[in-house]
Amino acid sequence: MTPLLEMRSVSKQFGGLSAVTDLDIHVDEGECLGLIGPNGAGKTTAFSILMGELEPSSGSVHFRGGDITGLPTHRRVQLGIARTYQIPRPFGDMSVLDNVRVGAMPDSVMRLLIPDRATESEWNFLQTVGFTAREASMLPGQLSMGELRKLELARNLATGPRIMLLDEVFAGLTVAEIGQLTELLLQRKRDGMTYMVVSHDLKSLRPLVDRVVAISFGSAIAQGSFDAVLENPQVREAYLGQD
Amino acid sequence: MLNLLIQGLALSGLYALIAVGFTMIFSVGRVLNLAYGTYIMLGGYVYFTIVQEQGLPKVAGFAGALIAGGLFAVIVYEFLVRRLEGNPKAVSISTLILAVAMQALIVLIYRPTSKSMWPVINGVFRYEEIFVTYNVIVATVTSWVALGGLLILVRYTQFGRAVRAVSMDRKGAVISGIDPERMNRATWMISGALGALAGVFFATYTQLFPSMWVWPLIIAVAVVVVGGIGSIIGSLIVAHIIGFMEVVTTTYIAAELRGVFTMLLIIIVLVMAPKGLFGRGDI
Amino acid sequence: MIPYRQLAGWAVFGGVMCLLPLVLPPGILRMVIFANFLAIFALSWDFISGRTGYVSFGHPFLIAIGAYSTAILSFRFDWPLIISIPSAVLITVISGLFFFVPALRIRGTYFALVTLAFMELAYQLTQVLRPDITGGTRGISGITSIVSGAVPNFYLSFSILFVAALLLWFLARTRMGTALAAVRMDEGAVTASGLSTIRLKLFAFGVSALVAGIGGAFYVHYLGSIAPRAMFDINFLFQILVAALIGGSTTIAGPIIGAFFLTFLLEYLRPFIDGPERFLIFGSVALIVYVLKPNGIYSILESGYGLALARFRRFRPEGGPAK
Repeated sequence: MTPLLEMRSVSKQFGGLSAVTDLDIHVDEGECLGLIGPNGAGKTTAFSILMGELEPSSGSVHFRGGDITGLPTHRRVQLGIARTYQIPRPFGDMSVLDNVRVGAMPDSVMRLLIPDRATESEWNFLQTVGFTAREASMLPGQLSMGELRKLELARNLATGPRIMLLDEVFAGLTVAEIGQLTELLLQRKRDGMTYMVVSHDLKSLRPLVDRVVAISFGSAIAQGSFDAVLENPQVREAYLGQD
Repeated sequence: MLNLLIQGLALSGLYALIAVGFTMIFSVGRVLNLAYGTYIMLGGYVYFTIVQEQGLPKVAGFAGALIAGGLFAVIVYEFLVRRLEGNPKAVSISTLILAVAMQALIVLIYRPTSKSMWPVINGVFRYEEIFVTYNVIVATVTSWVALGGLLILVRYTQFGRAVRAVSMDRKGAVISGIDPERMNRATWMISGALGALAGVFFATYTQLFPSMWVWPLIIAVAVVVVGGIGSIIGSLIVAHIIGFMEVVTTTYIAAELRGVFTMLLIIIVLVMAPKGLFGRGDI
Repeated sequence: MIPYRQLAGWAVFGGVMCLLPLVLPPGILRMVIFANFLAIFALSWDFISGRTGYVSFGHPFLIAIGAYSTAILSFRFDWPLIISIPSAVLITVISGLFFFVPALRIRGTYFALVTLAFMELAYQLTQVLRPDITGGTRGISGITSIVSGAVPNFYLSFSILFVAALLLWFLARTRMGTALAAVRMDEGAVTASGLSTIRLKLFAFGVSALVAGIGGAFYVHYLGSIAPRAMFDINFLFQILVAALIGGSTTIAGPIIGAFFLTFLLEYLRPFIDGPERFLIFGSVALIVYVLKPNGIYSILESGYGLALARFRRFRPEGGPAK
């Protein structure tokens, strides 16, 4: 079966520095893949290459078997790939509702030229993500980190993705918020959503992922089930240094 | 041919001096100070008032110009730029408004007609077929002395280290015991004084008129943008490119077109290589 | 969901303005005509600079393209105005691409600088290149006027302003308006939401150039003459910019209020100081307003209105409603 999204032998250099070296990652439809590895291992770079925000120095990116290397980011989003950022990037002067509605906007000048009014379905959508009517009119500056992550997730979901790349979704959240978020993600997963998740918080990652790839210095050093990868001596060494 | 070379060198030296004060502010605070041209204008007019209107010695004229430029720059920093910190767009818009207001002030005091400035030193140096006015020689030498002094100040003194620290990492500088506000104020003052110094010589090259600030501002912008942020050597090279381009255009093509190539250079470099030709570049 | 209150505002604005010629002497009416044109230019400036955040310091360049095109076509080549003006507007929109291309790569202050360089470049080139067509430094005078007299010119300039403002107001209220605001806040996040920022920016620049071109073309037929120093001028840029900022950026009423405020302030300073020195006071006022109230007069009026409303309802007397 063709993977939903995959990168084939991708390398990326910044100046003389190699961020990613000959990296292969793939994720199948309906699967949840965890990407782990120490700081600076190249996880976020890999996301940026998958999204087309960075061009790989060599290698290719494929979506449902089709080569999408070189495709601009917004076209990939339209195909059904979405990502969140390590530090959430909401539109600061816009209400929560409007933020999410930007995600739902069609990419066509003509179809944007209609009066800007929230529809019933947009309200309902916001509620399914867990925002109350009061929160919908708040500005991002008034939200907690947990709500900001939820906001970004909602904006992503509004683009109608088939796969979501989640970068450090659990960072800065309370235990309760992590629980709610996991619940939300698992529920979408049952509906067929595919994920790729980067997280330092291995404990929170565990109930979510089907398979894990460990990255160190820009290369994959191990992959398999969560427990197997964590048992891998190379992974332990990468995390803990010389052991 | 030799005359062309000397003219080019002289003009480039002056342009480097014009640009260097602007570069300082840009590399330390990452703000585009569009009121920079007014320091140059201020220097010219203050010198003119002290030396030509009051008949005081030239040293007093230079001192007055430097003080006026430095003081004005600190005032701009204190009352405008510091309040808009973190909003580079607002800084560039408000300093542009300030520059136009300053132009109106000059019109109010000195009337809109242009005034001619005497050379700082009279006379012409003549050797075989070379003609150079002493004024140009003094201007060029002063430019190089000022540039050298600044380079030493930035590279080899405690003050320079502190300023560079603030420009690289403000928070890091603070926890190392540097007061960034003091450093910024000092940088702005030096920038203003350098601008005013350049202004005195610039005015002897051209004339004094209320909109004389526009061209030096464009030169400064071109040097910084094309040379790349924070690259003193890059600035020097670009100042020479622009200076020689202007001299060659004036001599061989048409005097009216002397600015065209500078403008094209800014546009092309900004579009093709936003980091500048020699900069470490961050936008 | 029809915005009755705003529509009522538009009706009052249009009605009051249409009555002005009945009460104002022609001298003051000529000022209002200038204010109308300035408001058109400020609205055009604000549509890219305020809404999308691409600050243009070269807007006089776009306006001058419109003005020069129709001036040259009608004066040198004897084209009828009904063809020369639309052609000029079209040329301006195409020239807007000159602004758009740098916007693909640079933003913020760098973008502002490129547009400023465009303006100075155009200034120098018009003086030297083909002075037989552009009129060189002296420019062109004796350009055909469309209507004569203060009152017809007032109605003409006001109708252009009214239509342009309505168009921009409508655009601001569409999803496009929201998307352009998003471009100002975070272009990367707009792309990540599946929208092409290139297309959005192209649209914004096109609309801005359209309004600038229409304003510039009609303005030159009103003035009857054009010269490079009057057009490609930092003082002209200054008036446009300040009108938009002092009135209130990213609103429609703001730039209009600012343009009228500016015109009348300058006019009433005339008895005290009559030359370009007026810009000193004017610039200082603009700076103070800008530093203290970055959102301009519009926000002062808005909060004043909110305050009055709150007093009236005896509700939250210490401040206006949020926003």
